[in-house]
Amino acid sequence: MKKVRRSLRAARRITNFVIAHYLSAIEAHRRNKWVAWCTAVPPPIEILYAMDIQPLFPENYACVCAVRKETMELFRKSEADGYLQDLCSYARCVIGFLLGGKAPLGGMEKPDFLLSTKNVCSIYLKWWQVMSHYLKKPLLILDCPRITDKIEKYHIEYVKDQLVSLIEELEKITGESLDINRLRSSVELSRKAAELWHKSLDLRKNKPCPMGVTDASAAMFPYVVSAGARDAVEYYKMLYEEVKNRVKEGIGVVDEEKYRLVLSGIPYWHNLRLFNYLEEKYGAVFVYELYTATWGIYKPDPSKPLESLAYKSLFNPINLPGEWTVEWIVKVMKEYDADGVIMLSSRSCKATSLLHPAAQKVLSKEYDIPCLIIEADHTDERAYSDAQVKVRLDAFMEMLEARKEK
Amino acid sequence: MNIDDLLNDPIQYVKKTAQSCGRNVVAFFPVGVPIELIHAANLQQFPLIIMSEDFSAADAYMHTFACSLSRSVLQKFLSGDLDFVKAFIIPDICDSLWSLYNIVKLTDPNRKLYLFHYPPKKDDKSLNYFKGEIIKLWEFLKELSLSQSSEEILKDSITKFNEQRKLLRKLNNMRKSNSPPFSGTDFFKLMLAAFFMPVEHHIDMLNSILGNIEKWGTKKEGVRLLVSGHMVENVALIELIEESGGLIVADDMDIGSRHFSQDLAVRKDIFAGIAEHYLMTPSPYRHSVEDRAEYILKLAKEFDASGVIFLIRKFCDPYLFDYPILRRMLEEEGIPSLLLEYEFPFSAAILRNRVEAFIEMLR
Repeated sequence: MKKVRRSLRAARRITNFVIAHYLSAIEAHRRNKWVAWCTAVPPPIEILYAMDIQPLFPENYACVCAVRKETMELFRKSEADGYLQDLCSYARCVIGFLLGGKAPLGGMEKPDFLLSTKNVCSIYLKWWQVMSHYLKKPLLILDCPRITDKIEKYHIEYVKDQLVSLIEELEKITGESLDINRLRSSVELSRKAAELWHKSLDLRKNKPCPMGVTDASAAMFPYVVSAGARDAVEYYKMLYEEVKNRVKEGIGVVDEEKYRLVLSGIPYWHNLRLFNYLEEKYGAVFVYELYTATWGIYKPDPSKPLESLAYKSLFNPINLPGEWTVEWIVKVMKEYDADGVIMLSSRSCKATSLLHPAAQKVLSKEYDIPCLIIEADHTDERAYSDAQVKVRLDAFMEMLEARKEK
Repeated sequence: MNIDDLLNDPIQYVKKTAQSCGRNVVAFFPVGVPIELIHAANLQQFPLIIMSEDFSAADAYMHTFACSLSRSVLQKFLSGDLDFVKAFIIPDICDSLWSLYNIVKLTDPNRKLYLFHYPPKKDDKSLNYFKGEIIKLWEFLKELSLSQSSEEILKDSITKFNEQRKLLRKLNNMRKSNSPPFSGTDFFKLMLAAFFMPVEHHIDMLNSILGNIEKWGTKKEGVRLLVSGHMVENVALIELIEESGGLIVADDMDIGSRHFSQDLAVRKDIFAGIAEHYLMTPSPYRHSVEDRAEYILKLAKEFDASGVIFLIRKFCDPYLFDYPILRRMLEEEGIPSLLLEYEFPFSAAILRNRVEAFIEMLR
């Protein structure tokens, strides 16, 4: 039976937010302000907002290209230049644009400098070096050591020290000093947005689940790009109210919610309809994504802005030990009363994918949590086979059904 | 044991050597991990440049789009072949190795693992943090040791490795000649041995080779090439290039010139000296592509190489990201290059075809 799907009004408004975000960089240059290309997993963009520097995010831009199915020409451009198909498809997409490929929304406004963190993958550093080379613009790097046990004081001191140097560099670039009170306000805005975003996500513990994965994947955008700016806070106020109302009225993503799922990995942006398939055919709803929850997972503290931003940069699930991720999944499975985990592995994203098979083994053996791994690519649809993926999903759902009947 | 025996069964070699020297074994990926520390802690080093032909155990725990080196190590680990290893040092250089660290930890939480961090910058703050990392590694190694160690012993170890570096440079410089007395394959085998053998034995070997250079190695003719790559694990790959008409006269590799091009300066602050040495060695894991291009161009000119072969394992992202720009920067200087991407086990026929076509073009 085909189930009815409902999307949030707030999620539909994201298109406008996205357009406004890319226009804001053009506007920044028009006002003689600065534009920086930043990595998307918690770099301290609160500092940039406090200094009137507009950040832009190549990874998000690649998502936009994939959702609009406008990646192929960009891939062809970068591949013709020697960037192999095994390399990060986000990177190949944006490098294709830098090499002259035709890109949606008129392309990204070119930056005055680039800022890369090293808290997710080794690709961040290499990809940003490549872009800095083509753009002939300086690259600033924030090094975040991997955490093998817990975040220690010396890790925080190291990153904080680098933030001090980063601010000095930014002051040189802009010719203006950072006002610490503006930084505090910006961190406060970031904290508020993170809190509202996670309060909205928490509401998905309710049955039926009021917000689906497609909406959550869209609604995370403001926090990624605007942590530290007012528009993100406004957006999440609106989102939170809408989701809360849905809970009050008992409105779910689908009419008959039958299965509750947890998602690990990056959504396949070129085929978000895959989620509709599960919702419509099985009444299976994603109630938690490790991916969307990554942003805002740590709420920075405006009373100690630098230390707190250092912690935020380090505290990113992929930068934490594998056991941490396994425990995280076990915890949310319980809290959200979920039935199983679907892991979307991406052939060109080792950082978010390589742990999947080992985690699957531990989750099923030690915790009896059913997990399915799908292998495709987050941006490159050539690595995706719809029929094969659906066969695997069908088999998994049948297994979940059998477990429910027991 | 001669070099060929060592290379035929490196695991057996490490086991035997450790046993005869009465040492615990520490395995490490030889990418900027200070080998001097392992030596000074009186531990037997085991460079993880090993290959597996069977991936059945590893495939259940790691995706096949991780590189074949990390999958090989995982396979050997899961099948119990590395049970004799006391601890593993995994440098945090790429996503495959960070995942390998996590996967090993998940499958065997009691295993002693050490993740070694590299800052991606060369400024004072990075240097200082890296120094701290080196001291922590030193403490970790000393705990594994069966004997006492000290900074004095560490100084001696550095002196020994500098002696080895000096001898390797001497041999390496002979490759500048129009007709080098030995092949690139000979030299590469010697480099692999440098990472496996106790340094004292290796120095003896180098001295005896240098004392009788005309009798050592095989003189080869061929188009002069520079090979750029990472932890190449297989002599067959180097052999294949030389059998296809190339003569490797220079390299930009971890198992190669990166190890010996500079001495490690013994400073008053011994750990600061070690940090500086290992942070400055050109490597895609921390350096910009421009720095690397400069290093490769300098080598290619010094050693009069007609072309460059980038020997890169499939799925090795940091190297593959640098390749297109390096290729173009070399082209601008009139040096053609070839990307030879391989995965273990590889098809020699396909690789040979590509190398032959490249060499034809250079002739």
